[in-house]
Amino acid sequence: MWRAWIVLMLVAVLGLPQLALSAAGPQRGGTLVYSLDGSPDRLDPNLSGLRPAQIVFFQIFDPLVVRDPKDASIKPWLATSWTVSADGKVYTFHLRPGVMFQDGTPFDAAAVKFNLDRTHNPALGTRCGGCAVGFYESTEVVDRLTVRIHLKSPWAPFLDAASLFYRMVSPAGVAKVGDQNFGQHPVGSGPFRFVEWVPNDRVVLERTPGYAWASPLFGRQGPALLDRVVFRIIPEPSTRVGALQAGEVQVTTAVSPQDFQRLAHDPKFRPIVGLAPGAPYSWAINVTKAPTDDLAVRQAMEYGINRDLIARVAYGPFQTYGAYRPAYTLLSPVTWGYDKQSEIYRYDPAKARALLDAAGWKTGPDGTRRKGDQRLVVVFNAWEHGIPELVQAELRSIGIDVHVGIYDALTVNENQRKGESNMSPLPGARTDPDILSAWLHSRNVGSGGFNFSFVKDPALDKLFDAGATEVDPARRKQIYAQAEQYAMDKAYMLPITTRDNVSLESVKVEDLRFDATGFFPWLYDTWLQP
Amino acid sequence: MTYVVHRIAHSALVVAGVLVLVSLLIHLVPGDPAQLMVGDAPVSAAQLQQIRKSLGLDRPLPAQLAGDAVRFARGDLGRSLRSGRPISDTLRFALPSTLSLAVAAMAFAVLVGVPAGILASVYRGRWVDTAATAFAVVGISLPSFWTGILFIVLFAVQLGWFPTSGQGSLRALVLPALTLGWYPAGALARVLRSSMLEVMRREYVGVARAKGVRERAVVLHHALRNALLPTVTLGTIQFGALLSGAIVTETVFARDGLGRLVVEGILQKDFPVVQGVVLVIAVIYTLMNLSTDLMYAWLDPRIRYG
Repeated sequence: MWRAWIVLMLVAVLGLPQLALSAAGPQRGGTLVYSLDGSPDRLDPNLSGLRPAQIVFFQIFDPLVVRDPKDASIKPWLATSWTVSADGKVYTFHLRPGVMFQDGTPFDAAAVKFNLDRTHNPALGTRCGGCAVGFYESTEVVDRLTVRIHLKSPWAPFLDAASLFYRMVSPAGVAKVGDQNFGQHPVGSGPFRFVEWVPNDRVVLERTPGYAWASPLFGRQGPALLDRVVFRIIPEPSTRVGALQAGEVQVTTAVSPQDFQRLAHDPKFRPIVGLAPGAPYSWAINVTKAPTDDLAVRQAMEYGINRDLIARVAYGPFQTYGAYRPAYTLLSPVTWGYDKQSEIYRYDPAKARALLDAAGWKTGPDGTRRKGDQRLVVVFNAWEHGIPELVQAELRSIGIDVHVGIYDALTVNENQRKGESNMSPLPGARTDPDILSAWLHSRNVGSGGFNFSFVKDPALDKLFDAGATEVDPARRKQIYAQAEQYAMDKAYMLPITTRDNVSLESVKVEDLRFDATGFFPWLYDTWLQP
Repeated sequence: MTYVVHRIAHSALVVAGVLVLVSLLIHLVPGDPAQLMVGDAPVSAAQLQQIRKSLGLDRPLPAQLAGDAVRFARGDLGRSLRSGRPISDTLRFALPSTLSLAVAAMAFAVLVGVPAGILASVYRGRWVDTAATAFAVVGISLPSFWTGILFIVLFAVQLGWFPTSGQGSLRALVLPALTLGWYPAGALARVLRSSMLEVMRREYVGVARAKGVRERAVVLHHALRNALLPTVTLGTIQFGALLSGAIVTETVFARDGLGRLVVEGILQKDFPVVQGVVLVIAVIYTLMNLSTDLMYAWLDPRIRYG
């Protein structure tokens, strides 16, 4: 017995200094291993828009401005101040002096011009979905630290795009290895610099010494705290969680509800949840293809699904943390411009049945409704199981036969484009409500566009055009509220749940925060408990 | 000797055929390849034209074929559309990773499967036979994504003996090699057992025993060499499959490799990647088959070209 006491005393004595240490605040040093669910394509913000690539290159490249997740305001980063012309077409940025790229070349107005021109050079084939494609005209170098960006027509989401997608690469770095190779040899001005990339395995970054231009958003200045960051590429969800449990990685993204439930209460781990603004997990409804060309059918679907139940069954464990909640309108509740008034469809199967009855859809002998010789069949595609099967079960009870198809994302999109399916999912995590115009503006019907509802509605186009050009925030908010109410009234889309970032971290990780999109970590402030 | 020359000429012909097919692959897919490749990104007509040009799709078909043949023959496989990385560079990483996994899995399969097959046939109907058969059947039946995850949970998370995933160390190779090697180990054991049993019934085995050769020598020298032919065939086919078909194991254990490259290439409509990897896999298969044929000739001197 006395032996046990001695051991206990020893533990207490040895453990105390460590406790004191852990209370000492941010520590410098250590390597953070962060697991990704897919491989980056290229670490080149001018040319890539792929999420795993963004998670990595957000650490290497700084933007001109940044959105504060606390109040959604735009704060300085590489630009100290900026102005927008009255007509909304000219953005003038005053740049921070003394900023250096990691190759020792200075960041200046010419570098900004190089980046914007390169992003909008059609010969390079950028995949930046949120950039001002179609709006960008030119960049003018006013003096060494002042730059003026001209748009062809006003585009209110420009500052938002500048906070996310226009990240500054080193022109000298591009010149050294060429446009196509730069993504494997990235050089930016960010708090971490590139070390190596082993394909399909890992990307290694190290702290940029002498970094002294963090955004005021962070509340501290100087180099990052971590020595190194290793991004491990682990596509299989169970392996990602296994690697976290085995201590090989300290942060793991895209955790399954089952693993989350198992580990969220384990004292060794901590859930970190980023609530995503923008379009929730919504399904576009083809309004030109029978039977979803019938407003009554679309509205019956809106009334006929129990979103609360679907969210609980498919994503229950996430809900304690506010993630994956039922979604009733085109924007998720954390989005700037979200309008509660547009949540007009609450679960009401009786009303759904009445709407279908009134529209002439009579219940047939097999339980499926029909009108003449047409059965009420809706083709509902998705790229993952869960929600489709639940929707199928719910809509069957009101007499709609849902045919579910699960394919890879490109096939799902292709089927909807060709009009082979009635519905396909369109989530879009964005910090600006203009994302809705990508889903519902008539100019995005056909070719490579994403108006998968095939909506060509002049009233809605007018609202989106006004929203894209209105510079006054209060008026702009009102315009989007109107657009949400209008589009929900016509049941152009079927929002089902929000779609958020659910990750787990080791309790040794401190001060890991996500940006305003909820998906991109800021590792500048992050530190490790010894 | 003529046999060897003929086999090599035959293989060269196959590779040439594959070259043509790979070059035409892009035209076999319905729809505009350029539009398909861009997929989800906003593009202009100028951009699409640029992609067509970069792929050489704006030239007439025979010119495309000739151009591709010359390019491939020079060893220039082009660049990935998504990453901009030269395909030969991508293969420089993927090929060693795939080879080391396939060799390790095959070594496990041979070292475990062959003795298991021999022992099962020698101790037919006894517990050794039952154990070996059970090992084989389980290995053949269980899907590798399940065994892989099971191994990770047991040996990496619970016991901590091996890393869960990744590459770069030999220890990280153990679990994926066991996962991938269990199936061929089981298959080899089953085939070897039955062909051993067949051979052991032959008269020359009886003669060997009658003239007093020790049982050990009868089994290993007289029976095994003759029972080995079907096993060699199966083994090389299995090895070919391990090289190109390790996609599930590669994904579960987060390893780079040919299987993952080609599947991700297909999903992202990255045609140059698919073309390059298919070409490399085809060459590997042809070389595997060639080596099987040559090994046959060595094992059984009666096999000649005819």
